Amino acid sequence: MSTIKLETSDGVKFTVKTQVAKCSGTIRTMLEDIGINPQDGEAIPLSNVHSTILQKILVWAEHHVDDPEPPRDDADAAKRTDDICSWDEDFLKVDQRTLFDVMLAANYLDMKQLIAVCCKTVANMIKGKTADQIRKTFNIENDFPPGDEDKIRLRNQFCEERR
Amino acid sequence: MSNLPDDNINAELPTILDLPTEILEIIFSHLQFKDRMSASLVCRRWSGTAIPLRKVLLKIAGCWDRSVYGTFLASDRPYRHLEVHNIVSEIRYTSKLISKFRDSLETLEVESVYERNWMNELGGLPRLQELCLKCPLVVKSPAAWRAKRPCRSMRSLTIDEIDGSDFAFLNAFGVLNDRLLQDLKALPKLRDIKFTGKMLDLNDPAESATIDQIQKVELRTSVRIDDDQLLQLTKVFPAMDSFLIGCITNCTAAGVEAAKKQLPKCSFQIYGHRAPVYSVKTWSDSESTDLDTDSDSDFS
Repeated sequence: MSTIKLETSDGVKFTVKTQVAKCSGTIRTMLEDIGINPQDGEAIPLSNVHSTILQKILVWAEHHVDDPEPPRDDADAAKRTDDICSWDEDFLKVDQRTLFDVMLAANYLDMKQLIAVCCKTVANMIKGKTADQIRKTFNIENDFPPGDEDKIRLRNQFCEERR
Repeated sequence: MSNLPDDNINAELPTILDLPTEILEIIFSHLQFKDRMSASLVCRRWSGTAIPLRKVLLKIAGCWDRSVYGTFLASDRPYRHLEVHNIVSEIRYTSKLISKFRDSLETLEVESVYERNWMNELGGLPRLQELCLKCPLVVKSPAAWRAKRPCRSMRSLTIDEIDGSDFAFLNAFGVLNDRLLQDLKALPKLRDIKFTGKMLDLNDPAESATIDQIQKVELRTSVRIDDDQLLQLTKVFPAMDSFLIGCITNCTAAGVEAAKKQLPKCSFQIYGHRAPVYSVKTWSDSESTDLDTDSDSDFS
């Protein structure tokens, strides 16, 4: 089984099965297009990813390494958020800081399926809440100048979803 | 390994606000419109990201509160879809709204607006694709006559309640000519046209043009067309592949056959055939109200 080495932003080196590492589009590109040779023993630097997060992401990649390619452009499936598998659900039961760290790293590593399942998780945290409740949930500061929020609320009253 | 890495990660403390916009957009794409509305009120950045304007219909109906108009006229959102019904006319809000969003408007519906000048604003809307006019009003506007600015991107046009003999105001997006059909020639992307209310005047020789870009025609007019007019319509719109008449006609089965022969590839759906007004079924329950002699083999 071929392996490659990855080096995180904090200098930690991971030895990973090549197949698992290739869950990342970024690493796949490095190996296939740029021609980095994993046999050299030289570690691929992942300067934007911390070791604690990479470790977590590798657990996810290991579990999903044999997943089939998802169907493309399936608008209905894309809208759903109730189709998160229970393994992923448990995997993403983490504090928000870790969740967003995983998302940022997944974005850097170009892991579409992981991003998708994280986004669904966050969407589920927003659903059914008022603006105030959303702010509390994510600790977001209301940065509207005085009066602007009311203006947007008024505007929204006249907006409908286009059929 | 020291404790440094953990300290570093604490210093970063990513929150939802650290996510790049393209990720936020994926998150919002999973939300229903109502939840997107709430999200748009959370913070300034989200107010610009949560609601995609291509999905937003700005609908102002029967609103007499002037501050509402002020809000939209000062808005920095380039709305794409606008529907205006029964609004105050004396301040020319319809004109102002169309003018305000003229560069972004893709669909526009105006119903029962008794304002004199808004039609002047119709000319040359660069992205307009669908126009629906439901105003019992004909305006001959000198400004529109001068304008000669067709909305070349228009794909669908619905005309309702307008005096069928005088389409002069449509020059706002047509050529300098008071004939609707001539004006339609100036709209190369127009594919669907729907007449409700009044009917265009086919008896006028100047109307005997052919409009060959239109594929779908729908008539729901209050004027009964006869066999001659039906046949003439097939000649005016030779590229039709769908022709729907959802109103009472005086056409005979033979007349319909002649029209079908003229356009063998077109699907004809004709309802309310020769029935007296009081017994005609409405569109929604008219599935079986087709011709007395015809099968429904041509119905799609």
